[in-house]
Order: sequence, then C-alpha cells, then structure tokens
Amino acid sequence: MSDILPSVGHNQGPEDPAAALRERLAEKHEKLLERKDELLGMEERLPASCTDEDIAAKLADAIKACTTFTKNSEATRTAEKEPFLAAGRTVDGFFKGHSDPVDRLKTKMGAMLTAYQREVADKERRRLEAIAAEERRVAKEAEARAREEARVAREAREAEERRQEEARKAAAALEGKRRAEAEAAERKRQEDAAAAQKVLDDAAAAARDKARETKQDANVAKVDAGAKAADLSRSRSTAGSVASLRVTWDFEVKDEALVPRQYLGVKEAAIRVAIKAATTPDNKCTLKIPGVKIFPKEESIVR
Amino acid sequence: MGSDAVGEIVRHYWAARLVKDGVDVGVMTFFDGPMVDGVILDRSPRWQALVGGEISARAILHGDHLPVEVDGTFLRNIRPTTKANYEYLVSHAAYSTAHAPTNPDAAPKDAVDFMKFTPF
Repeated sequence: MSDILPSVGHNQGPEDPAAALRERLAEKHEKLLERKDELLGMEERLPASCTDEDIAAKLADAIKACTTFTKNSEATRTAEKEPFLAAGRTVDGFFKGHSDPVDRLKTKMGAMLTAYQREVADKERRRLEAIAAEERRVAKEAEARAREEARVAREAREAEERRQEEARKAAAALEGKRRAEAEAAERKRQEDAAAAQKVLDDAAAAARDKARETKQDANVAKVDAGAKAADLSRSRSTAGSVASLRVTWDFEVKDEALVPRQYLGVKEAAIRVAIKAATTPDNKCTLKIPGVKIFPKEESIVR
Repeated sequence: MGSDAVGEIVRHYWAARLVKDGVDVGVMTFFDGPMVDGVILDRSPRWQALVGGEISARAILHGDHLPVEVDGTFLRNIRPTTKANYEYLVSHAAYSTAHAPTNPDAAPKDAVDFMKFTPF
C-alpha cells in the first residue's frame, strides 16, 4: 500500500464543464469522427474534373455518402442535445413559473401608476401653462406701459426743444444788447436741459428693462409648460424607487397602400410559392412578376 | 442490346439487385443445358440465370428469358442492360471481393451503407 495519500479534491472533475463535455462527446462518437476523416480523405483523391460516366457515378455516391454523414451527424447532435434542451426548458419553466405572476402584478401596478402619473403630469402642465399665460399678459402690459412712458418723455423733450428754440429766437433779437448775459443764460439752460433729458432717458430705460425682465419670466414659464412628461410626473419613494412617465413612439399600419416604398419589403416566400404553383408538370414556368427575374436553375441532386 | 447469340444460344443480360438499396449485380439468362461449375451439362435445355459472379446457373421458375422468379434468390429492380455493362458488373464485383472488401459490390446481399462506403 502506498504511503502517499491522494490530496483533498483529487477526484473532482475538470473545472471547465464545456471541456469535459467535448471530451465525452469525442469519446462517445469516435466512429463518427473517424468517418468524417474518411470522407475528407476523399478530397485528395478526387479527379480534377468529371469526365466520364464512371466518375459521375462515383461522385454521386460520394455526395450521397456525405449527405448520409451529415444527416447522421445532425441526428446524433439532436439526440445528444435533447437532454440539455429539456434541462434548459425545466430551468426556464421553474423560474418563469415564479416570475410570471410577479410580472403580471407588476404590469397591473404599472397601469395604475401610469394613470396616476399621467393625471399628475397633465395637471402640472395645465398649471404651468396658466402661469405662462398670466406672465405673458403682465409682460405685454409692462411693454405697453413702457412704450407710453417713452412717448410722454419724447413729447416732453420735443416741447422743451421748441421752447428752447423760441427762447433762442427771442434772445437773438436782443443779441447785440445782451450777448454776454444771454450766453451765460444759454449755458445754464443747456445744462438744465441735459439734466432733464438724462432723467427722462433713465426713466425710459428703466421701463424697458422691466418689460424685458417680465418677458424673460414669461419665456421661462413657457419652457416649463413644455417640459418632458418624465420631469412633470417624477416621484420618488422613501425606499429609493423613482417612478416617471416614459414616452416612446409606437405605430400601427392603417393603410398599406399609403406607406412609402422604403418601408416595404419583398415577400420572397410568397414568390417561391407562386413559382411553385405556376410550374407545370413538365417543369415549365411562365409566371411573370414585374421587377422579378424568374429563371431556371440547374443543380445536381443525389438521392 | 440486352441479348446476344453464341452459336444458337441466345443470352440476355440484366442488372438487378438482391436486396433493397443494394448494389447492382449482373444477371445473364440463357436457354441451355444446366450450367454447373461453369460447365454446361448435356441435359435438356431450360431457362437459367447466372447471377453475379456465380459459376452455377439457377433455374428460372417463373418467366422465360426474363427472370421473374429464380431458384434460391430474389431479384429486384430488374433492368435490361448491355453485355459490356454486365461484364463490368461481374468483373468489378469479383475485383471488390478479392481486393476491396469495403466496396459495396463485394457484399451484394447487403444494402449499401453510406456511412461506411467511401467512393474515392
């Protein structure tokens, strides 16, 4: 008896189950692999081309041998795979059986939540639209007021200019006599007018700024009213779940005749069926389909 | 085609199969004395069939030159053929039996197993 004891885990299988499976399959289907090598071995013995009836017969036999191998291999593969598929179906069924009722409940609750959030989003959108409308109205009034104030200031300035002109004309009549005195008075008058004009300009600018500010507020409210449904309806639970309305675009075809060509496809299966139906027993086909070339195709069939 | 005359003996040539999905074997039918081990005995003539590479002919129990029913074997898918093809079938079967036992025509009583047959 050996003194060396096997270590723990020495009799475990290979770590990679796929490698183990490959090994088992190769061992179990050794003959199939040998047959594959035999068939592939024919390639180097093939003649360059088929020149007589004998080679044609051999080629037909070889094709039949390959077909038989393929069928056999496919049948073996199906049989080998079936237990795995059955196991996969069992796993799917096990978990689906648990998750399906939960999914159904989830769908039901989702429908309730969607209805609520749609209502919330609509309400919020209506509120923001009302605010935006009110702010637009206020901005419009402020703008009208600013225009009115600017008009009053302009009229006052024009009246002042007229008065100055008249005064200048009167002063011109007495110019020779009181030139020095008039010049002094003129300077003082110009300074006063400039000061008055500055006051009027400042008032007009202030009115314009206020009107612009009111208009910006109205624009902000307008943007809010057009906000995404997700932003308008988003709610967050204390456990951290966030719920919001997601809008995706879907479609249904109402009238196929109106759909542009780029969204249509050719039904190849229908064409094949039509060709098969139109082929006569003596293998003639006179079917014509606009835009489709229907032609005979020749290929060897080995049965 | 399908028959010739040697002396006054008319011979007919056929390709047939011994089993379903088997290989073709050459069959010759003739009206003569019984052929045993390749020798025609001096007996009354009768319709006989020489199947494949056999050297003793079998009696045709039903039919005349057409071997509908042959003693001791069952021919299926019988088609007339040429003498050349008959000789090819017989000689090729003999070659396969002697030198290439994996060829299907070395075992005409078995269906061709395309999982074992490698034509090239």
